[in-house]
This record gives sequence, structure tokens and C-alpha cells, in this order.
Amino acid sequence: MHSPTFGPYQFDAVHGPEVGGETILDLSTFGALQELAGDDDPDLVNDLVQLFLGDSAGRMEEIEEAQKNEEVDSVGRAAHALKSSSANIGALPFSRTCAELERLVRCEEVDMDELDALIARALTMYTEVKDALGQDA
Amino acid sequence: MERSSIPVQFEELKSSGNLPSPTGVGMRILELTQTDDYSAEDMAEAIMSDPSLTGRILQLANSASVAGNEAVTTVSGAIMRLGGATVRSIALAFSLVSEREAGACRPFDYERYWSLSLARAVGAQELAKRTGVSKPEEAYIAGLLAEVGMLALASVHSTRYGQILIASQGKSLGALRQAEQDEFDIDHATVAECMLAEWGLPDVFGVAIGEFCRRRRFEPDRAEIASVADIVRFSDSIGSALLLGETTPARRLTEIGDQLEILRDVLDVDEPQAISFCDSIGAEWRKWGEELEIETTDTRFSQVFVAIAAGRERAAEEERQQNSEPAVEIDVDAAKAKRRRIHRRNAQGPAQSGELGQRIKVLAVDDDPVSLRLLARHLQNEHFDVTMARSGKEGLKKALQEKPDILIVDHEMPDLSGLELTSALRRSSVGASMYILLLTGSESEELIVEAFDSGVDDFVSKPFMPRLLSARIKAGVRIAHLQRKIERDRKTILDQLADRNALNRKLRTASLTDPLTGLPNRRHAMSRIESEWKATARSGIPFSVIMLDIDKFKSVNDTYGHDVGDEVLQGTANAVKSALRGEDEVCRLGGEEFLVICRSAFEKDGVVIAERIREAVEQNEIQSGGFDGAVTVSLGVAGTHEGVPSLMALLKASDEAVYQAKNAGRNQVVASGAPEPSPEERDKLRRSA
Repeated sequence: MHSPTFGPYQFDAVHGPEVGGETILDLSTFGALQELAGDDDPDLVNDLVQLFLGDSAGRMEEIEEAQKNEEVDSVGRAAHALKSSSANIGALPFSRTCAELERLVRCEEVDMDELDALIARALTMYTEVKDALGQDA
Repeated sequence: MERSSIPVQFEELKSSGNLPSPTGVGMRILELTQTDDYSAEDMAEAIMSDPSLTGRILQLANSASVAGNEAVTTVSGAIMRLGGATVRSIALAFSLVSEREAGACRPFDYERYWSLSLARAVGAQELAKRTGVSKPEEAYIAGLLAEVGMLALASVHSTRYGQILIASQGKSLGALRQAEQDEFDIDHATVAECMLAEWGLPDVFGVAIGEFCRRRRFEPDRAEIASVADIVRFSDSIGSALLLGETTPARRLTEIGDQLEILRDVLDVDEPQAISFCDSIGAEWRKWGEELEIETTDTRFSQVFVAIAAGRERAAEEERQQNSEPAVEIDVDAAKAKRRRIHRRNAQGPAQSGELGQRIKVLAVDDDPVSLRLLARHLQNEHFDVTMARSGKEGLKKALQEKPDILIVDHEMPDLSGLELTSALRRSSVGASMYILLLTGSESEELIVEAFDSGVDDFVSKPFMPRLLSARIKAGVRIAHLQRKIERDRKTILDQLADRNALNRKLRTASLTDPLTGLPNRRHAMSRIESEWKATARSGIPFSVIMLDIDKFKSVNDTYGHDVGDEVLQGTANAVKSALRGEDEVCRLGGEEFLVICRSAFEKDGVVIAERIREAVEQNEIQSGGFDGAVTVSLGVAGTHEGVPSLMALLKASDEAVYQAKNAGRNQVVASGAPEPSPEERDKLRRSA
């Protein structure tokens, strides 16, 4: 079977560890993006991935830094931003984790243990997302 | 210029709503300082609400000050150094500059206008410092606003003024003012004077700018710079030199060259010194240009003098066929001097963006680069003309610059949230009609209510579903189309209104009747007494004039309002008419002033009629809107006799008599003091009757 190409990414190359029966990157999102790109905008998917990698690295650092200083608001802002940018490139499980993180820090009383656990999970998943995107890149 | 003497033609320009005027902080300062009890702190506070204005005022306070003075670092310090009135004028002038935009009058070169105005301002400031003729900061303002009358005409009558500019190209500025006068019944010199008076700028500016507009050149027979107008004249030549282009006519080059030579003589310097003085003005101009985002050139005066020398040779041939007043330079479509490109606000005029069928401009604002890139892709697929901004502040700046039809803005952004951006835009004239879509990750009731409150038109939740977003945008496009159409209709209506006002005025002046009282107007009065004067000169039959003025009329207007004032005028006109003989005629000269023309009457006969009028008015009870009673009039009578050499002398005599009647306590008749007529003269009059 011949896979359509877009940027340096191959459909069959975009996969990774599964989370609860779901891949870390959602292939149908990529399909939709490729359709959106059409012939006019061949760099779209590549651009989106690069923009995500560039933006998310800083955001993850912000989260870790904020965790050290117990600045829960900063955690919330970064998680909010990551939630939507990761969903756009199909990193759906990671996006959901960010959403949970955002919800948690917006509670009246933040359970710090739960926060640490969620941040740890987000970091792990983020590495997996990066690895999955980084294939062939 | 006194407020009462503002001509009706100017009021018409004003009623178009398109006159350039200070806005934002400038307007606040204008309002604030029109109250009697504002303090320097109030003004400083208003100025400081605009950081860029604050910076510019401090820059001017320091660049205009004499070397050795300590630098001014606060607005209050600037007010102390320059005086409140001056700081106020500066603030108004700068707010005008910052509100500038390219307008609809295509032949008017807006860029050149502001470049030259700024060069004139800086040049005037330096000349004032050098000569001590005026305060440097006052000279700066006079230079900056010297041609504001032309800007105003271009803004209000864009099409008609454009035609005048094209027709006047290459002709003298005097011819341009004449053409303005013919078309609008007012010229740019008077418009400028009225605008400055309207803003309450001190008289020194109106006087200087009026003189400058009426005579642009410094005449070579004068030895020194004597007024602010002279300073502006020379700085205009320096500025024109800085903006010389390949297409500058040779004749204009020569004029500029002549003025620069005169300047050199007046300043008593040699050519290298003159060049370095002018170059220092150029350098200061470029600095200000960057600050105010006005284009400048890299012209050096050594080049200017070379170009002028070359131009003189060419001009010698052209000279004979033209008159020699400074020519109108508007650069209709000519290649312009290479200007330093500076990024401009509001570069797009309303004419281009008002057309239907043009691509819809969408500005997308999101701090998340991934969402932004994706959003832009979607919009491009729908064939929108897309601009992107990565933060709220950038979004605000681009929205004001690009004037998009639709703004799609993310809710959560760290520097300026979508809602803050929306409220800021809704306060501006540009953003009021924009269609604004909010992208939001949450759909809580409070947020949505708050969003609509701050002026959002619609919202889409994030991550957006492409088809839904498209549908929402299409709804927005329909509304944006309607907005454009409304905007265009509104402009057409305003244009028509301005035209109709001008037409009405022409009809009014053409007719000879005062519409309020139904009496003949000043125009009729003047032609009537002229023919009486001629008839008297031929026949020797005397006539008299009675000038009369309603006493304390201003207090009627002030106390009861203009509507009551109008009724008092009408009532008085009727009372006067009732006291006249058949052959007498009363005309309204204007305001509360009337003139009665009594044919076949010696001055003493006029006095009898005047006394009858006085009584009639005094007994004429008027009831109107709270006013209940009678007014009184003061009357001055003058009759023809051998000692009155001219019609003007006759009118002046009656006017002086009114003045005496007022001084003597009002409500009385004073005669100019003509001698008793001789028996022969009396006989002659009796025989003619």
C-alpha cells in the first residue's frame, strides 16, 4: 500500500505506545489535517508539528518550574495552552491529561499530591508524544 | 479670531463631521481646558494617560529648551517650563498627528503633507531658537499646523477639492486660494484660522498661519525675520527642499533656492554654515519622523544646492510664461522623492475598504501558534484574506492598522485577553463596526454573558469544528457586508449633506432677504444705500440713515436661549416697521443690528423717525419662553450734507452716533450733528416731494 506523504511524516510512521487501547497520536486527526492542507499548503502538518514542539517545550518547563515554586496558577495557564495545541496535532490522551491538570489547579483547594502525580504523568506522556512525532523527523 | 466671527461657511465644513480634529486624549484636554477651573494637575493627568503623547511632549520640551537647562522629565515639569497654554497646544497638535490617516481625496498627497508639516515644525523650532523671535515650541506648533486648512478641505470635500488641486497644479498658491474661494466660499487660510480658534489655541498661531497662507514667501527687501509667520515661511522652504524630487518643477526649485539664499543673508552666515544649519534641521526632522511614524528623506543640503543650480538653468527658459508665486505641489501621480519607508498606521483609506465584492479581511489572534496556524489554514481555504497575530497586543495593533472585517480572537491570552482586546477595539472608531468572534475553551454562562457584554458578536468553542467555524464566519461575513454598506451609505449621506448645505448657503446669499425677520438683508441694504448716494449726488435731495442696535440683546440670548432671542428679533423688526414712513426701508444688517434708510430726509427728519422707532420698540411687549417685556434700542442718525465726503463716512457717522447713544445710557437717539439745512435746501426738498 502506498502511503501519502506530507512533510517528513509518513502515515504509517506516526504511531506510538498505546494508552488504554488508544494510540498516543490519533491517526484520523492527521488524516483530516492532510486533507485540509490539500495541494495548496503541503507544509501544513510539518509546520504544525514544529510549532507544537517549539511551543510545548517552553510550556513543559514552565510547569516544572511552577511546580517547584508551588505556583498553581502558572501550571494552569501552561496546561490550558498545551491542552488545545496538543489536541490540534492529535495528541489526544496527552491533551486530556492537560485538561485534568487545568481543572485540578482551578479547584478551591488544590491537592498537591494529586497535582504532583498528574504532572509526572503529563511529563511521561509528553516524552512519548515527542518520541512519536520525532520518528523520521 | 473671536468665536462670534466664525463664518457660516466654516460651520458648514464642521457639520460634515469630517473636519480633522483632536481625538482621544487631545479631545479630553480640549474639553477639560474649556472649563474655567481646571488645574495643571488635571491636565498633566490627562496627558499621562497616553504614554506616547507624554514622551513626545517631554521630547519637545527638552529639544526646544535652551542648552544648559536641566532636562525636563515629568509632564508637570514640562508644564512649569513651557506654561500650561503651550503644553495644551502641543498636546492638541500631536493628537491630530497621531489620528492622521490617508483620506479619500486621492490627489491630495497625505504622506507629503505630514512629511512637509513635520519638517516645517522642526525648521521653525530651530529658526526660533536661533533668532529669538518666538518661543521655539510655539514655532514648532505653527509650523506643524500651517497647512491644516488644506487638509481640512481635502477631508470634507474630498472629490471636489481633488478636482481643484488637479486643476491648480503648477499654478500659484494664490490661484489655489481663489479657486477654493470660488468653489467653497472660503479658502484654506480662513479655514485654518477658524479651526485654531475653534480649538482655543492662542491667537499667535491663527495670526501666524493666516499670514503664512496668504503670503508664502519672505520678501527679499526685508532685512530680518520679524514674526512667527516669517519663521514659518523660511521653514516651509527648508522643508520643501528636504522633499525635493525628480519631478519638482524647475521654477519651484528656483523659488526654494531664492528663499534659502535670502535666509542665508538674513542669518548672516556663509554657504557652508547655511548648509550645516539646514542639515541639522534635516537630522532633527528624521529623528521626529521615526518618533511620529512620519516619512522622511535622506536629502542633504549640499545636494539641494547642486539641484537648485541645475534647476536655475532650466527655469530660465520656463520662467517667462508663468507668474512667479510659489506653485502648488501636489505630486498627483508623479514619481516622488525617495522617502524613507516607515511603517504607517491606517495606511488604507476608507475608499478602498468600502467596496463590496472585495475579499473579506480576517484577522486571527491566538497566542497558541499551533491553533493559529491551523485557523489560518482553514480561513485561507475559505478564500479569506488572512492576517495573524500571536498576542493580544499585537492583535490590537494589527486590528487598528489593517481594519479587518472580521476578527477571530482567542479568549485566554496572557498579555491582553480576547475580551480586553474586544472592549478596547469597540471604543475606537475603527473597531466599532468590526465583526468579532471569540474562540473559547470554556462555555460557562458567566463567560458568555461577559463576552457579549464586552462587545463580542459571536463565539466558537475550542478546539473548533471546522464546518461550524465556517458557518459562523459566513454569518459574520453577511453582517460585515451589511456594515460596509451602511458605512458607505452613511458617507454618501454626509457628502450629500455637505453639498446641500453649500447649495443652501448659495441660495441664501443670492437672495436678498433675511430669513428670520423677513427684512431685506445687509446685501440689499448696501446696494440700496449705494444707489441712494448716487441719486443724492445727482439731485442734491438729501437722505438719512438710522443705525440701530437692540440694547443688551446678548443677555436675552444668554438668559432665555436663542429661540427666544430669535422671537425678540422678529418682534423688534415688526415694531420698527410700524414706525416708518412709506418711503423708509429697514434692513437687518446682522445680529441685533438694523439700518433704516430714509429717503428725502434731512438728518433732523431722520431724528424724528428715529425717536418714533425708539418709542415703538419700547412699547412693544414681547412674550416668549419666559421672556416677558420690551427691549429697547439705541439709535444713531446721520444725514447727507456737504461735509460728508463719502458713503462710508455717512455710515461711520451713524455708527459712531449709536456708540454714543449706548454710552449715554442706551434707549435713546443721537444725531451725528449735521448743520441745519439752508432755506434753499429745504425749498428744493419741498419742491421735489
